[in-house]
Amino acid sequence: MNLSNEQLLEIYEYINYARCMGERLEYFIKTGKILGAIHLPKGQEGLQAGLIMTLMDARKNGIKINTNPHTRDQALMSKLIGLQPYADEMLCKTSGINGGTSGEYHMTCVEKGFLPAQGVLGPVWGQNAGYAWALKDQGKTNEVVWGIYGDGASSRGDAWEAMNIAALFKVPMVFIVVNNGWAMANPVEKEAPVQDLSLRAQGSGMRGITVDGNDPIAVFEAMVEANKLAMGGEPNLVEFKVTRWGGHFLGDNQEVYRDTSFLKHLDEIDPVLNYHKKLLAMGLVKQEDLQRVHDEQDAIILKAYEDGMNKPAPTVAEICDPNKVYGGAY
Amino acid sequence: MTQVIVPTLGQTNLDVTIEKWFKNVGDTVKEGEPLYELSSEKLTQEIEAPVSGTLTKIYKQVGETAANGDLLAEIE
Ligand SMILES: Cc1ncc(C[n+]2csc(CCOP(=O)(O)OP(=O)(O)O)c2C)c(N)n1
Ligand SMILES: [Mg+2]
Repeated sequence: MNLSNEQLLEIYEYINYARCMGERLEYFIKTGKILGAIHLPKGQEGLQAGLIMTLMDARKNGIKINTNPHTRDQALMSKLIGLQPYADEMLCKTSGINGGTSGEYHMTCVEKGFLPAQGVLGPVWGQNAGYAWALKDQGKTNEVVWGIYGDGASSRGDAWEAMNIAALFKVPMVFIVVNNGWAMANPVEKEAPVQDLSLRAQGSGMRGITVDGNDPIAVFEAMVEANKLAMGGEPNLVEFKVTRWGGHFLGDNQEVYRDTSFLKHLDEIDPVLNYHKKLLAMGLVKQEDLQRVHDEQDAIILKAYEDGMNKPAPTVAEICDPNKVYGGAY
Repeated sequence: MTQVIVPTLGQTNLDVTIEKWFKNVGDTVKEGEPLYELSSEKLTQEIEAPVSGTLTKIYKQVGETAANGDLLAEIE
C-alpha cells in the first residue's frame, strides 16, 4: 500500500496526539484531577497512531469499527467517542460520555463503536465474538469488531474459546494482541511458551501475523488488510510487538522486578521520534515541526480537560443508578 | 497560589507516606521538577511540581501519612 503524503502527515498528527494524551493523563493524575489506577500508554504511541489512522480511514470508507480499547488505548478511546466526552468522563462530569459514572474501565458508547467491557480480563473477546456474530446475523456487512487484549489478557483460557468460536462461525472480527512484554510484573516469557503470540491463531485455523507495533505505517497497513479479511468471513489475529516504558500503572515501582536500563536509551526506540526521523528523511517535515505539532496537539488535549474541569459532577444517586451501568447499553 | 494535593494512584484508597521532599520551604520550583516522593503498599512515585513558583508551605513532613486529596503544600 502506498500512502500519500497527506496520509503520512495525518499519522504524524495522531502519533503526537497519542504522546500528548499520555503526558497529560500523567499530569492530571499527579495533580489529583483524575483518580485511580491509570495504565499509561508511554512507548506504545506507534500502535495508537496506526489504529487511529485505520479507524479514521474506515470511517471515510463507510466502515464502522466496534471495539473495546485495552488498558493503554486512551488515545484511541478519545478518537472513537470524541475528545470532550472522553475527557469529561475521565474527570467524572455529567457531560462525560456516560454521565461521569463509568470511569476509564467501563466507558461505553455502542453507537460510536465503543463496546462495553468488564474489568475481568479474558471474557471480553468472547463477548466481542458474540457481537460480531450478531453483526453477521443481521447482515451488517460494513462493520467489523476489534477485540484488543494484551499479552497477559489473551493468555487466559476464555480467550482461546473466543478464537475457536469466531473462526468456526466466520464472524467479522480481528483479534488484536498488544504484546508489550509484560502483564503487570509478569514477563511474557513466563506466560507463553512461544515467542510470537500470533502462532495461537493457528489452533483455530485462523491467519495470525506479528507486526512491529512501533511503526504506525505497518500497523495501518496490517489493520486495513485484517479488516478486509475479517469482513470477508475470515476472522484473524494480529499481534503487535511494543515496549511498555513505565510501570503497570502510574505508581507501580517496576524497578523491583524489571531491568529498566533501556530507559537510558529511549531515543533509539521512541516510536514518535523514529516516525519523525522517517518523515524528516523524506523531506515531509522539518526539524522544528516535532515540537510545534506536539504543542498543537497538547493544546487541544489540555483545553478539553480544562473545559471539563469546571463542569458539574454527578450526584450519588446518579452514580448508583443501575440503569447507567455500561452507559445504559444493557 | 496553587495547592499541591495527594493524588490517587492505585486501585485502592490507601494512605500514603511522604518519603522525601526534594525542595524546602522558600525554594524556587520549576514546573515538572521533582517535588516530593510518596509511597504506600506496592507503590512508590516521584511527583513533579505542577507549576513554577516559590514553595511557601509544606503541610506534611517526611514520614507523615496523608490521605488522597489532602493538602500537602502550597506554591506561589
Ligand atoms: C482475570 C483477571 N486477572 C487479573 C486482573 C488484574 N490485571 C489487570 S491488568 C493486568 C495485566 C494485563 O496485562 P496485559 O494484558 O499484557 O496488558 P498490559 O497491561 O500489558 O497493557 C492484570 C493482571 C484482571 N483484571 N483480570
Ligand atoms: Mg502486556
